[in-house]
Amino acid sequence: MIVAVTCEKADCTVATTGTCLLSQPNPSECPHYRAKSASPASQAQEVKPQESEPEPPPVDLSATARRASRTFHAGIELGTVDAADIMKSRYGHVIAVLGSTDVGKTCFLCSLYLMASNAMLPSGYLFAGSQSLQAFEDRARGLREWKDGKLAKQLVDHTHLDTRQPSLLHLGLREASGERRRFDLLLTDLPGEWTDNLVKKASAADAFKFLARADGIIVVVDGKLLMADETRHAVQQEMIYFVDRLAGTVGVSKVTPFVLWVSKSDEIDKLVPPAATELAAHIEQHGYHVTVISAAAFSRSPAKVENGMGVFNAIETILRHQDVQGINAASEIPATRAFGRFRG
Amino acid sequence: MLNKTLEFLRIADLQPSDEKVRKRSESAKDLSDLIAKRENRSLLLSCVQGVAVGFDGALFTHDASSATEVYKVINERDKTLPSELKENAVELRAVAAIALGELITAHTAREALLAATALNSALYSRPSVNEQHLRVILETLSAAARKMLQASADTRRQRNSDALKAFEALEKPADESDLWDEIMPVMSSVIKEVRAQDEVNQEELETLWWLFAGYSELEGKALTDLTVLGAALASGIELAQRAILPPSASAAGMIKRATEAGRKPEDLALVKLQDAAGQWSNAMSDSFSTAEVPIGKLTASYPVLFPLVSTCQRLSADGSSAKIAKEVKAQTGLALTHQHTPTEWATQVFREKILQRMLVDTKGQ
Repeated sequence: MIVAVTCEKADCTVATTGTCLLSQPNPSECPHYRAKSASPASQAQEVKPQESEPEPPPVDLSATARRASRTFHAGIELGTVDAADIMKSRYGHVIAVLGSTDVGKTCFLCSLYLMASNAMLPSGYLFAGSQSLQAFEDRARGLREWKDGKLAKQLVDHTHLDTRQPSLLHLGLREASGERRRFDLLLTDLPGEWTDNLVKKASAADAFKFLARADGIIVVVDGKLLMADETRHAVQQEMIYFVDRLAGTVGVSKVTPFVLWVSKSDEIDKLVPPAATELAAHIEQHGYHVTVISAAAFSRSPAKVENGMGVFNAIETILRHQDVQGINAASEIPATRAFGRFRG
Repeated sequence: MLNKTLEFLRIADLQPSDEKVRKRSESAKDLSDLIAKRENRSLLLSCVQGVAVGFDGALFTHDASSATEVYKVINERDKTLPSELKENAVELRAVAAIALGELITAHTAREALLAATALNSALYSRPSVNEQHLRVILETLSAAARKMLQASADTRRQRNSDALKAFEALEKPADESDLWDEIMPVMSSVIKEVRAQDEVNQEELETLWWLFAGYSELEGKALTDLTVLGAALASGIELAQRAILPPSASAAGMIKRATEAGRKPEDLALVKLQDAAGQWSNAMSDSFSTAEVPIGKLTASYPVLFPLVSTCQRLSADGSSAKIAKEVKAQTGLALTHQHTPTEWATQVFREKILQRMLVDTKGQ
């Protein structure tokens, strides 16, 4: 019998190219790799007849199962399907990092990564692995840039090595003491154009459908632009439109906490611009819980403002948010008898 | 609750495909039908435990049989879900939650009532989870269980006079030879109706007199002569013994009155689980011992549903040490340092006793 190969992963082309989507050097060791019987028609094209090979010796099934569960990750950013592999085994905290172009979204991600990789996370938290280390590293070195005109309109299912795509970065954290809980962060890496597009047209809301599962939203705004007289009104108004779209058109749940992350604070003496406070009030008017954080992912004057200021605070604010409204307050059915209506 | 499949499934998949939502919805329906049967009661109770603390907890890594059952149901419609518990635990939890929600909201069978009672006992004392979307699921299930129990308790206590009206509407038959056949079924219904009504009245009388007397029959002392924790235990147990199943929502108010009457505010401060359980160990075991369902068997299989009794038994048997504290947390999902007011602990006692009664009682809805 001739054996063809296939892969359970939807976008894997191992059957035709021999290259594993998960970058396994030997594709047959990939847990998603499967051998299948080829149809008679396709047998003629097979180049590797298996008939003469001896029957494989009986194997220890438990050992096979152990090998199958040993998965190697390529380390690049994750698509939604890749992220589901993590989420179905452990709860994943999905954190959306949103904002216009050049406000500091990528700097936020890089700063977080560099703190984790240099053992500089705040006390109480430990780095607990990442399935996208290479993706963080590429961003930190400026090797992964958005390509003009080639932006995907949704989070991709699977990512590729050749281009940067809207995707997720994974970072595992563990509490250093107490219950030593683990947190699997799935942080979005989205182009600023998505935010700009949503401000301009409601039809861009489809790209943000994933926010229904977000555990928190970090809206990044440029502190310098919000402080400057020439730019603050335009930037503030644009973000007000953006928040209106998130609340109205996208329909982000009211239990999702917002962080208004004011970047480049090192250049404005760590002040929170009044325009940012007004923007936060606008977010609150929509019924969301919002926290304003003055931040500097990379400081131009580290002696005065330390690198990474406000980066982890944003993550911690979302991880600690516990405000679920309305569910426990479900209306009671009035009891028919006085005995049933007694409440102490 | 199948209409919440997409919402619940999102804890395990950011953007599940339409096909996946359909398959999981069908699997949840299959699981719901399965646990609605009396013979699958242990699977039902295990599902409640899995939803409350997760299928990746120590409870399920030691005995994965119920997790395997849930996996099998999903696997029948979708072969792509990994079989390893460490790779599918959240997805199993999502499907089990949908199935339980469906059972509670769409069924009226006794198992639906049991599921709601078990959820009520498992979730009440537990601290709220940090994971937002998981918290929404647990809150949704908890609210559905509360609503179902409340409606069911009210229905059980509603005055009914349908049979009496039918009796009064009887007319004298022309042929008196058929009188017996006509009158007996109606008379039988009237008697049943009167008996049911008497049962409801009896519950009210027993409970109100117990509350008015303020006297614990278990301890043989006035409630005010007991410590506040002693009064909490007595009120939780003794009110649960007097309640018709399912209990009325007013029970919470009665527990509060019995526990807090005559106490100073400082007596009602937060108490750690280890202190409450340490004080209650022996009395708790006595209060829960019944011939029908030995409590030891229940706590061994379902520590998440009986966290308080389980902890009491464990501390009574092995004492309190760091090792025991760790094991108790792994088994019940509650840390020994977890705190509640005496009234809240009394309510947890009440809920666990009600669940135990529900497992042996054949009456009720």
